[in-house]
Amino acid sequence: MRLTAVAASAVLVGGLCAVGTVTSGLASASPVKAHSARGDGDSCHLANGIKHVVQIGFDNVHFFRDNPNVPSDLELMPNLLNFIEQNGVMLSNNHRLPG
Amino acid sequence: MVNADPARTPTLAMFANPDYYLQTGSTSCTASGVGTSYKSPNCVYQTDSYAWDHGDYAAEVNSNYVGFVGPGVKHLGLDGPAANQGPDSAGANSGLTVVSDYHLPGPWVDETDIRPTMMYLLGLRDDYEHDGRVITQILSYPNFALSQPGVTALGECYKQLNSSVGEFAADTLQADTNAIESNTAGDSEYLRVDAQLRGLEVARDQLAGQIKGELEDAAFRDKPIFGTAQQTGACQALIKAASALSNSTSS
Repeated sequence: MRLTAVAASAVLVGGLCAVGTVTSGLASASPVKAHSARGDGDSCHLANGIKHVVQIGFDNVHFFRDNPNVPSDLELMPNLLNFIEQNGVMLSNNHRLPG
Repeated sequence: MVNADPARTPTLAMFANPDYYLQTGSTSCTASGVGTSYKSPNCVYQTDSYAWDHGDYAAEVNSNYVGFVGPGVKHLGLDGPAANQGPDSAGANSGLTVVSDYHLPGPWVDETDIRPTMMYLLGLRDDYEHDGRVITQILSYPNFALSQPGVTALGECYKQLNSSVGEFAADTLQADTNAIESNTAGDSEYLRVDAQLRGLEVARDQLAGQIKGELEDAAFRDKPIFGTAQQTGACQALIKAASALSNSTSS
């Protein structure tokens, strides 16, 4: 079982794409220590049968069209966009800090 | 911009028009007129060699997306504005609009919500309190506390109260901007607005901090939230107060 999250930042800096894979027993999504909600200490059992986490961050890859007559960056990646929309949810009312 | 170290809190934060770029310049620049180079004596200059279109407190720049796929995530498809319905910088003033004016469809989400939502779906919890909330609208199996009536509505209001580009933030920023631009004897207008902003800030911090803790406990400890309707009412009242203050100032 796999959990996938795709997010983007519209900040105009150099391109960045990070893909992380975490397997059961190595679950630490960030340097901050994470605890199992079940209180299992360091033996980590992910919920819902999840074994792997894939988190992809896009930089300056737009979902919204910059020009109404030109498909956006994500519209030009139909395999990825269709995967998300057909198997989960794409939330486009998402917001970031002013930058 | 405000963290645990008060020495790092800026005295003045500037947000320019979307196609403006702010940078440090000469303290003796000329306020009137537009120059052609950053070396010009004018405080403002234009150049055709570089286009900046990613500033600042503007709807297009502050709008983004996040997708979730996996066990525990509802199959909702696109839940928000379509690709051709988002804010853009076309038209007058280069997209000088704020997100909260658009009333976009779909759950209002901030990037701070991604981490707690991921952790919830994984059945993990951090050893600190998140600023964001678990996006309850996308959960296939919310726990008992999150599935109680009024919890999602409280979370939605919390977003508008605490998001940096939500209604409360936009209205207080507008009020403060108008106050700074005012020119009344003894700075009376500025002082009036500043005092009210301080009152709103204290009230916001108290209520948002309370709601944040309750949402965290509901998500990660399955602790029910009591008085959701009353708290949502208080939250909405604060947002209305910020709007009223903004409307009482002149831009």
